[in-house]
Amino acid sequence: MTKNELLAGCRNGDRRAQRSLYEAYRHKLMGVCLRYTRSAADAEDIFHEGFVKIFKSLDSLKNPDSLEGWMCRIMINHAINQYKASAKLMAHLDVQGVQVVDDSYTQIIDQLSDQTLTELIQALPEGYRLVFNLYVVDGYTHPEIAEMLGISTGTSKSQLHAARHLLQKRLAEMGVKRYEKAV
Amino acid sequence: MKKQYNSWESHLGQRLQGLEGQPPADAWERLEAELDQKPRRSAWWMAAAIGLLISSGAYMAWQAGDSAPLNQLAGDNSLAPAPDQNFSPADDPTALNLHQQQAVPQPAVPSPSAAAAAPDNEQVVSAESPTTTHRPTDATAPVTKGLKINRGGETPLPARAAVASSSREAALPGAVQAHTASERAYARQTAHSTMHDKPATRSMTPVVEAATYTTLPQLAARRPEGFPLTYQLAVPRLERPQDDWYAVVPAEKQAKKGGKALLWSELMPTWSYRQVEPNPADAVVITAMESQPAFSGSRFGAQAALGVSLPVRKNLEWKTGAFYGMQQEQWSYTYRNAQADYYRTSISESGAYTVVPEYRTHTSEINHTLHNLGLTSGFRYSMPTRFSTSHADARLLTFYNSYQKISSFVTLAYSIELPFDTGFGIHIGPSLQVQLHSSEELSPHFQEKPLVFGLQLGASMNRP
Repeated sequence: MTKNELLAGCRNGDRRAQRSLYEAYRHKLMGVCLRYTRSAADAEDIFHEGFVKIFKSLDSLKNPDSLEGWMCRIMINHAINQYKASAKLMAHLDVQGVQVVDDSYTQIIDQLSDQTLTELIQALPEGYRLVFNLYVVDGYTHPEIAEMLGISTGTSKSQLHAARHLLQKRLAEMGVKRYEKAV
Repeated sequence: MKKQYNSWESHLGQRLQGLEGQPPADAWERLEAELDQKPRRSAWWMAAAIGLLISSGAYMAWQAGDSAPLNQLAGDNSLAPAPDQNFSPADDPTALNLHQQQAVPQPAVPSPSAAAAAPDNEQVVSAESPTTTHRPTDATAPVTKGLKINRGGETPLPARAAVASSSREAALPGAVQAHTASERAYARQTAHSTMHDKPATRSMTPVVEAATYTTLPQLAARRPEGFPLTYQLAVPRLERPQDDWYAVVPAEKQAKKGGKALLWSELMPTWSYRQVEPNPADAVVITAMESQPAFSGSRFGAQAALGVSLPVRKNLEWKTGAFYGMQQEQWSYTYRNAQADYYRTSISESGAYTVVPEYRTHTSEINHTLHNLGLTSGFRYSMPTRFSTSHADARLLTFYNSYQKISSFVTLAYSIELPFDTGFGIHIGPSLQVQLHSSEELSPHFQEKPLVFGLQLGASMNRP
């Protein structure tokens, strides 16, 4: 079944086509949800509601070639809407500079499993996590992020800055931990 | 502007981009079930439907409760005679039909002089109509009452009364019964004529709907002791004459009783107490909460409501109306994840290996001004006392605000009313509101259980 046939079946409510689409993209989209939420339970909620939205708005997909990006955007937008709907908590963290050489971070990241990586990103405060994901992973610019989240560009930049520091600190701690374990 | 990445950051981004997750095993089943469901109606549609339902209910209740026109009709001499203390059923030609033990039904053609005396628009009796033959022999003198009562109806009351009495005489012990064979034969003939052939009289300008006359004989049969027909004009509104018997009361009594919708408005300064409990579904631990002074701006609010109340039973009213409330929420707390953020391990000089969990503390602030807009509906029980009337209210309050979406409260209130002679009254008393449900919490880490205390200051208009 080609992608166009798959999409046509999904638009007509064909359950088999919908199931095929779901099977093809579920892991990728669940990964997106895990990145944007603070827990697996939240990610599952976003995943479920996002997929319902995907099936219901397939008619609005103009270019079938951009299906994956379109579905990722739906998941991201849904996560952002959930964030907006909840109390906009701005966690104030005590971020202290941690001096570790860049190469060390790269090595530490290489050693982390997907599970640990997910936990690392999920442990970030809500705002930091969203901005870091949007900017570093999904490639949005600060003006775009500011518009998506309803914040100023300056806030987006400062959140990214704080997220970087926090991640550096945690990566450093993970490195120390691993080192100590090795000892 | 080109994006600036650190090397580690770029590396982390690539790792995260390729990150995949395992959805729960039942994810597709849940999704399929959701797709099979009909689209959910939005909260606005629900609110609009509820509003429509309440307004139509209020309108119908208003219509049902507003018996003033009928009472006015009953007391209006231009249409019907006012209740007369000396009035005897025996004097009334129509009453003759209702109390036939005093009458001698005789099929007879009405007196031409009587027909001529009646004005054109009150000409109910036709020479061809068999119903006219059911008039008493002496149709001339009291004909005015009978003709005026029947104005606007397609069938004069005596004819319908005869129909009813013939059909119900066995069922109703107190019902009017035709005592003679000729009368019974005539009743059957009248019924046939009325139901199958043609209207017994010419149609006049309708004052009371013809269809509602069908209930008249029931009531007439149940009031054999003889009330003037003026009271029976109230009957067409009744679906269950027996239950609503007291609606058929003299106009003066009805005026005292009221029965009309009452307009009310309330203004209430509030003080809220919000008990918060950590959300069990949330994996965080609240480590500290900023204590709030008992009397601070963040605890005060105000509510206003406006609506109508309609009598349901004696001393019981149904109140409904629109509601607006304003409430400030301002508090802060610190929390940490339930699971350790990381573990610090160390090896002592003696070689002991220790692992110490470490937590980071986050601070969150809630600072909102809530504008609640919704509906309130419930019952008010009035307790008349020697000097004033006190009221107990129990109402359901449903409202919307942008943070919590839909919330519902139960309002319990007690108030004392100070009536004025002009149909205007004010009431004052304490109120307590308890939250039943809220779509969303103000903080993702708490389950909130607010209690709102208030002092009702209300006014009611159109008091009986």
